Amino acid sequence: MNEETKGGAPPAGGEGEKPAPRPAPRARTGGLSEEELTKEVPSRVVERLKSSFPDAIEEVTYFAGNPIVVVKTDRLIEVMSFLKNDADLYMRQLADLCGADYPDRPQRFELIYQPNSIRHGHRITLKIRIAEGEEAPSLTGVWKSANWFEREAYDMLGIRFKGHPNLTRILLSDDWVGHPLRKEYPTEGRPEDHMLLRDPGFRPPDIMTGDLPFKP
Amino acid sequence: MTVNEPASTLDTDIMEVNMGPQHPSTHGVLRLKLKIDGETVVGCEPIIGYLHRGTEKLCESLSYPMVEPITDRLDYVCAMSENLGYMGAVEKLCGISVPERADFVRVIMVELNRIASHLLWLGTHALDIGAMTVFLYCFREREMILDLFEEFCGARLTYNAFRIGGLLEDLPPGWTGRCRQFLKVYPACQKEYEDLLTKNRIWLKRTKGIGVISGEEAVEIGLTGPSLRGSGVGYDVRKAHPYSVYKRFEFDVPTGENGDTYDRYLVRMEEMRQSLRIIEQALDTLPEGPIRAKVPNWLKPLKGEVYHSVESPRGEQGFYIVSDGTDKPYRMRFRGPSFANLQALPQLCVGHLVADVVALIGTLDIVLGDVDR
Repeated sequence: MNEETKGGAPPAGGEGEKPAPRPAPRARTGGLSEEELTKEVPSRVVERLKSSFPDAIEEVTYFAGNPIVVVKTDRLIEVMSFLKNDADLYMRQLADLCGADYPDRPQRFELIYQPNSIRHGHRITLKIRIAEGEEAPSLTGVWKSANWFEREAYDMLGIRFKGHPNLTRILLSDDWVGHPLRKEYPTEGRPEDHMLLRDPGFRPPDIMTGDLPFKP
Repeated sequence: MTVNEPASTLDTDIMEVNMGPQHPSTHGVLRLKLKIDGETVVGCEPIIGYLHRGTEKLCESLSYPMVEPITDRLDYVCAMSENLGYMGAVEKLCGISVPERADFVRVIMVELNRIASHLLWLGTHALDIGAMTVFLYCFREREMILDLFEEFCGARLTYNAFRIGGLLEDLPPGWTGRCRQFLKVYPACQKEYEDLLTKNRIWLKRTKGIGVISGEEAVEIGLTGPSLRGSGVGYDVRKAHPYSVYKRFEFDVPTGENGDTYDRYLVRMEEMRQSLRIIEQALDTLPEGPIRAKVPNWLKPLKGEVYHSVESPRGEQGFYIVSDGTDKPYRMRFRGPSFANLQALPQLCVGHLVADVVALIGTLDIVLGDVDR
């Protein structure tokens, strides 16, 4: 392994410490080139969106034959209802919803939606960007399936959804501290959970007396 | 209160009952908070997360090839489908085209795994409802498939069978012959299960009209896979967005009519036959040639993001990868079909008896490793 391949490893950092920026990327895939991958492809959905909501679309990019559309946060429900009910698109299913964390950006979180048209076979990736503390509009009124997906996004990233009927943690326990998919959350867990590994002289507390050094 | 008082005038309270997480019929660690009125379920709240291992977070500190063993452990009953989906996503992200032979072998493996997964489903589903014999029969045939897998990749459950750009190893000598042997034996075995169940009066009573969901509702709540097709919606990712070499094979997508547990059973039974058809065609036209494209060991995709989904035995298994141009994924998202399907359970349960909840968990065919990830 040479110097250049080592660069990708994230530095070990404690809680709250920002990871150092990664080195400039250089593609090594043996596959298609950048021009071929980011080539624009004709898409009925993007056409219709552009003609119906010219002011709601912030950005359209393409990757590997799939259009990625970024829409304005306050227009999301409107756009999604259109995608769902328009006879030409008829995207009746929300296949997936997930969030991603970009701590360096002013609008920190991205929510990524994958509406899916079973009748016409259309597919598109739709995104909104929100800042920390900002509430995202909940899509539970449009698709029932958004319920658990949004709960998961809240659980993992701490994104709050406005109008969600039951925004509680879904995969982690209710008393969990932190949101694991945020970039500052250490992969190996919180430091206090690994005292034995970090400090060989550490004596585990007597659990029976409840004398714990951390809140589990 | 006298004994002869009619039941309607008796006071009934709604009772909350806990089911699971250590209940054999929940197929893992699923907990249900049931609200029951006598024997009838009036509310159901699934509580999940007991098997959460933080795989999405874990992937952010692993390089692309190192993620594959993790995908095995998502839906451990059909690890081949997970492998194929992940490989497909990475190959899409990098624009790698896979040699033909590798694609064919992948399809054979995935379809064999679909049969094995449906056999496990059938066995446990029937066992939950009370038909014990089918369970033993199903495991007999599943064993044959697992032997084939063991010969191919050395593992019986978590296969880690494919590599980015193709396969690690070619098929062992004589493997196709043994696979054909299985194809020859299997249809008679499936007839045995159907003889035991399809027209069995108890089976009909326990499954017909249980957990009815209309096609429109099923799409809305996010059902995919056989659970959706049982309601008459013929959505199959293999047909709708063909990946790998599925375009070249002839197969039908069976659909049900009534959207009940019995129809979902019929759909899965027919799917196994269609899988056999695909395997047969793939074996007949299996091309010779290389098994792996030239892919650097230390893979660094371009900056970009892709969503790729495959039809796993449970439904649409999606992978969303965000690459920031380094050797590790910036964000990895697994869209588990079981997670989305389980969301429909409260809707299906309401109005049925507690005993039917067991049948409904079975009919959704959830795997908790896939729900909790």
